[in-house]
Amino acid sequence: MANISISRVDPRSKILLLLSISIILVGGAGGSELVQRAYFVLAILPMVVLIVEGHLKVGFILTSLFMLFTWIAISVVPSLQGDSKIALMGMVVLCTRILPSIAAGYCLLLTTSVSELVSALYKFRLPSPLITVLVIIFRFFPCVLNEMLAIERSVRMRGLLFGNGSVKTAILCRLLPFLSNTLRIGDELSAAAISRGLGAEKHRSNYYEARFTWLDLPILAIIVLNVMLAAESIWMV
Amino acid sequence: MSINLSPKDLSTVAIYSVLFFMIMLAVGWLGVIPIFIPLLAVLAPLLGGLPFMIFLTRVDKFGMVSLMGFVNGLLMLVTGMGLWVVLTGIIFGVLADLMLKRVNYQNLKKSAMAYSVFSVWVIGNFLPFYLSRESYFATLAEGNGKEYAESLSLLLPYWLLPILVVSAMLSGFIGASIGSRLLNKQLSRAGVV
Repeated sequence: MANISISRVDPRSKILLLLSISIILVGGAGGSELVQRAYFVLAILPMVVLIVEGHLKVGFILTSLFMLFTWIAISVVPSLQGDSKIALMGMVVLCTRILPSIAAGYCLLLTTSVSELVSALYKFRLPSPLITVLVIIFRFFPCVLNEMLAIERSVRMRGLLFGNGSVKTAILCRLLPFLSNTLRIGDELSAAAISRGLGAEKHRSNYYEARFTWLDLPILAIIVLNVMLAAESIWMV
Repeated sequence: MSINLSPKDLSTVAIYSVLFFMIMLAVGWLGVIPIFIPLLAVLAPLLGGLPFMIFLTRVDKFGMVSLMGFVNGLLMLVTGMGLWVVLTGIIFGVLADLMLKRVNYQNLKKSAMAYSVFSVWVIGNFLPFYLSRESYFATLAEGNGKEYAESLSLLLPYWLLPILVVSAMLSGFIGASIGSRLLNKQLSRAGVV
């Protein structure tokens, strides 16, 4: 669940980080040494932010995973050939490309409180309906994850893990409670959102104002650098 | 269009977008194995039929389905599927919305057809391969290794694109039919809908 304390990094930076990682990094990095180094720094950034925010355990695990696979990618891979290379590449690709975006998503969703996210989105001056939808998504996503875990536990407790041999039962006994719970939670959430004035026509004031701190400066600098490098490589190709 | 959506409608869109997106995420994990990547165009609309059908039972105005398409495209963008998904999400979301508007969101069979149109958004995931093929191929080869890029280009030749579109629409129709049948039988019995 999202923590309640105020985060040290402005949520706008986290949003920009997530966007830049998704657009730039997942497609693949190429080019000169400088570009590779820049992409590497961008990829490691969400894990650094996680550590800065105080989520030490997750941050360190993700960082070490990423470092491990980067090292594998650099040193081990060129020496293998053929099929084993493809198989290993799958794992390497997973951990070097997708891991940063997962880390950025985690960093955004699970370390930022919803009021900060709302404030950040309002600062971006997006249209109001879009903000409402995004905020409810932010709030709803961890709930759904928790629901899935809770239902899995209750299924296990009732000994229905494989549905008494029937696949239909196995699927339905998870699906039906999941759907009814999540839809009920969703309705409650939407009522809460309305009562907090999320769909209001007038401009909404926020309890927490998103402010840039000095910690955002290196993050934003790295993002801007990577965006410029990526744009340059697109225009040159 | 956006002025007419009440907060309740917006939250409905948000909730079902999350459910829909989570199914897309689950299907997307199969894409780690290169062989399955074209199959994603079939599996994703198939499994997404159920949440979409439940969503449609709560849709009664223009704009909700379009917004759903747009938000879904945004979420796909964030997971790294490229910029084209946003475009296909919007376009086919609006198209499906227009189709549904003509039957006033009531007709079941037309809903299935609307969902099959909506399902073409998955093609947006594949568009980087087709539209900017050389540069995308080059960046892939640099980043992920030459064999990976070559096997991908083998899997997605140019002539596969119309096949992907047609199979997305077909599996969308099937997914919607299965979804609505499940809705009527199981879920209404369980009191979910």
